[in-house]
Amino acid sequence: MADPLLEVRDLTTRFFTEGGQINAVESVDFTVDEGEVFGIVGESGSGKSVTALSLIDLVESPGEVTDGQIRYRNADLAAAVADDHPAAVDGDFVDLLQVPPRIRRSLRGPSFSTIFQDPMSSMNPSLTVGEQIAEAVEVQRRASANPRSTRSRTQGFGLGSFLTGAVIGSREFVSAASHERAVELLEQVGIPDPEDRAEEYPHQFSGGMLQRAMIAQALAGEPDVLIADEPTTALDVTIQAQILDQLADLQAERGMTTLLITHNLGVIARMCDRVGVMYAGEFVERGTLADVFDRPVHPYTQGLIGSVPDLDAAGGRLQPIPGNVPSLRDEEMDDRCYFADRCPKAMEECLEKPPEFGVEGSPDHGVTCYLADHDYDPDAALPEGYFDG
Amino acid sequence: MASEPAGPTPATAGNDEDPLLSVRDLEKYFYEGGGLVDRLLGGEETAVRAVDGVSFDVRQGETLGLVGESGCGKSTTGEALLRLVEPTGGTVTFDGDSVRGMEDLTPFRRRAQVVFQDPFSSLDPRMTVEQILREPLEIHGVGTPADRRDRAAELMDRVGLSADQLERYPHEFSGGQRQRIGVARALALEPDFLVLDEPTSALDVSVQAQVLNLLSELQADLGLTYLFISHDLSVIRYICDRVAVMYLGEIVEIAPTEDLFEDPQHPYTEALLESVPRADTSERERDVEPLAGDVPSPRDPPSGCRFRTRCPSVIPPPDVSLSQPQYRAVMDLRRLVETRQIGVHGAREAAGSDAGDAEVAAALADRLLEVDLPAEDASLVRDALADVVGGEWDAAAQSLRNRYESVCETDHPTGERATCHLLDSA
Repeated sequence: MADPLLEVRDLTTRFFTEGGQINAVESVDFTVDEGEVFGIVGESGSGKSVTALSLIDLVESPGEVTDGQIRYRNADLAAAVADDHPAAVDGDFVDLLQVPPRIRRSLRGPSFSTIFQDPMSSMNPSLTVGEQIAEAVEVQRRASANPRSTRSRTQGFGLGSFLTGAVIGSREFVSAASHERAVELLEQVGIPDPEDRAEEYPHQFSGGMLQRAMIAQALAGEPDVLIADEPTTALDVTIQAQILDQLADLQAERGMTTLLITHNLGVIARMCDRVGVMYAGEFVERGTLADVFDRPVHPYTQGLIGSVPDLDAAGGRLQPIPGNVPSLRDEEMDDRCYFADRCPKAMEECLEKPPEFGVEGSPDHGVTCYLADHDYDPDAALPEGYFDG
Repeated sequence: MASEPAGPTPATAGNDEDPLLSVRDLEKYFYEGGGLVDRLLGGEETAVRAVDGVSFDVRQGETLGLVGESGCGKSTTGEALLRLVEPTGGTVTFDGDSVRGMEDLTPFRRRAQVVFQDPFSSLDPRMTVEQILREPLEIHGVGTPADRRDRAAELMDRVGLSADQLERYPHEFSGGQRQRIGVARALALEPDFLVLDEPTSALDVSVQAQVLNLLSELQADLGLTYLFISHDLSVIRYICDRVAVMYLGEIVEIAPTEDLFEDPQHPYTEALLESVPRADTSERERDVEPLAGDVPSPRDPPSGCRFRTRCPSVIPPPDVSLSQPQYRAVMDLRRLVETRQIGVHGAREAAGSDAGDAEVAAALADRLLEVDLPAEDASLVRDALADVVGGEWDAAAQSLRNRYESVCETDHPTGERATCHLLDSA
């Protein structure tokens, strides 16, 4: 097994809204090894995107990471912060939750970079694609020369930046070398005729091409970890196949560690080495792809897989999970297994939160369900309609 | 109608049932750039051919799937045949009557209803569920107020919700429950035919499965006929009896579900099926050759077969012996020449100021062609590029066309089941 690059322990992110506290991510543990693709799969509202945002310190108010550790292995960073923040450093690992936002911001780009779902809204429509990628390159370049200047022009649309932009052409911000590098990156992500395309604006790109451009932008800082949050969800299947192919190639060439977040089990199966399944802010099952897809133990994982119609066989009836995703409002959450109200095998003990159990024979396979510990006992089943009242 | 059929003729073999709905050569063009300002500025109106000659039958009691990527015209087809948007051509016959000829659509609306994709925007947030369900009954003057209330309660029960929830507002329901309300509203008038436009696309998989099962049950119990529009092939396979595959405003293949999925005939259908990642551990080993490029614009669709710009098996002329990647590369180059999208200036700069046209052309050929060609073809391509460098775009396009023009670009393919020239000889 390769060495872990990222160890997330007990990560908890909450949103303190006017309507009450929302427990978006609750005590999440996972490890991402160097060079692997780790997938997080879950339905909408399961906390998978907030988990990713927590890693890169982009959770916006009223959200807040309230607890846990994000241990990131980077010897240079460890050496750099050892004097000012000794508590954060453990060998080559740095706990990112114990370093100030300034340092975490400087990690976005060279350590972590992100591809978001919607390429159209992630790009600035008033700058050419080439400029935006060159800018990402430039920001990295200047940051490594002078760690204090990490601001990019795309960050603000204020009057100040408008006036500066009107007086000084945007090219002034970007050196020729950065522009050249941007064209090179566009070529690497499979954009034909990259020199000409770099001069075009986002609306002149198709969705698939723009997603490629966004990948190029994410690669600008040569990140240790690429976080891909639903990278193909907005795309058609034939374009999705192109982008997944491209990501797999880049991953193979660069050995890039990737955190892939999606609701699509097919995308997970195509890309990932290991998977975590999230439900109601928690990991309910994690393990290798085969552990989760071929030997799922948690009834939610089983239900999720049983809900996907089979493309290759005329199937019988689908076995949907009854009910709906639970509310994540703190006041409505008991301290029980959150899936118990939809679970076909809920037992009395499920009213107490299950710990994570290992699964025999698969060292990496963890399941937060009593069924991983012992078999279902029909005598202990919760009476039907228990949660309805 | 003397025009030649643009889409495949519906597979009628072995079917003696009368279709409930029959669509022939349906067309919906949207015109843009024809406004007053555009005309003053001398702009010309261009047609966006969203639906361009679509023909199919939907038989009593069956589910016909309409599948395709975004922008292929599947939703517009659904809207045009219901006259939610006015078609610009073709005929629609519903149970023997011409829908396009109807003066009063009310009786047709009672029998043909629609469920939309987005359960958030398709329900009025200021109406209670009871009001939402009663509205169609009121518009069509069905029953007394007391009857309508009973009917609303019955509908809630029918779609797996409770009559106790009638006083609630849409925001109090989850996405899946809201979609159930959308289905209940469509059922209020006891229609025969439902257009289901991506009814589960906004839902999570576990909830999608619930709604799909509900739709199957309702069809069995009430004898409904469905037109099921979706981009999700596995959902289509699960729920449909027959499937029509659309690409750029046309139907490229129509067949019973099993035939289509087990033995796709059209290269586009095949590519579409291959593109879908399977939720299975063997997925990583599956070899997928993704389709190249993007869907062309419906403003200016390719001549002949519309899929030819992305097709992995374009038919070369009989005297051209190139492999498919070689032929593909030449055809891509031809397109660049025809649309004048080659940066001659940059190429000249890159080649140096003292390079002759022939040298610039050779450099261009190196840059634009990613495969090696046989000597004869390579020299023809270089000559054409030399014309381009010399500014003779039309001559270059002409010489390439003379040599490489494919039947796929000159003739619009037709066929019973799939419209593809590969099937012509067979």
